[in-house]
Amino acid sequence: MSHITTLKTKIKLETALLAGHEVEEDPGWELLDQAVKTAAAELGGELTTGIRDYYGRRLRCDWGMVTPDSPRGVGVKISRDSGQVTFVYDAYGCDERAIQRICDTIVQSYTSLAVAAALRSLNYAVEFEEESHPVDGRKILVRGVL
Amino acid sequence: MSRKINVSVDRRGQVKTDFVGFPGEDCFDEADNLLRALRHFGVQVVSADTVRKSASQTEAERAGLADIERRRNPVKSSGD
Repeated sequence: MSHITTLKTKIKLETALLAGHEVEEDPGWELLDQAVKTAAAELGGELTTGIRDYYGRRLRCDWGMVTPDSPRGVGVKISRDSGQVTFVYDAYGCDERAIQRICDTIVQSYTSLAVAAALRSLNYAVEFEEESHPVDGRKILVRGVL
Repeated sequence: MSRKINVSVDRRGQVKTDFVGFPGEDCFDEADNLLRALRHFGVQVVSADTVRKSASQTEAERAGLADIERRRNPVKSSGD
């Protein structure tokens, strides 16, 4: 018997916290760093350490990215208490689709990297492939073979 | 026979897993292992929807995998 499962997921870095360590030591921290860099490369974005609001005030984040479509930027913050991942931006007067595209690209990239890391931890050999769909957009396929 | 897990990640981070070549209920044990590993790497499951493959689907997949393995590792006859 084999099966197909569809999972709705969320990102939360709590492995290190539950073991009594700092969230920066979480196995997901490095993956998130890689995911933000991958997303920036895909979207032609520039990495920053913060964003700006409508009034030009700067807000520090763990990771930030500005793109030509989103010049104030989108930030990623991790709660030091819970590991909760939050996207930070000021959407007032901005192209909200551009902001959503940044958030989606980071989430998709992170989830794919985490799936690959999870499969490797179970001793699977991993391959990546991309598939574009006219309605659903890009899908990343991660294949694990044991 | 090789076992495969094909995972598709859509633009919202929704994940679809397809377990191929697992005998019996092994795929469900491996699905639990995968979910634990995903949680370790920061991906938590909010909800899950599972569909079992039919016997004919499973048989076709196993036959396909066996065929691929035969092509990868052809058996040499003793006369060679």
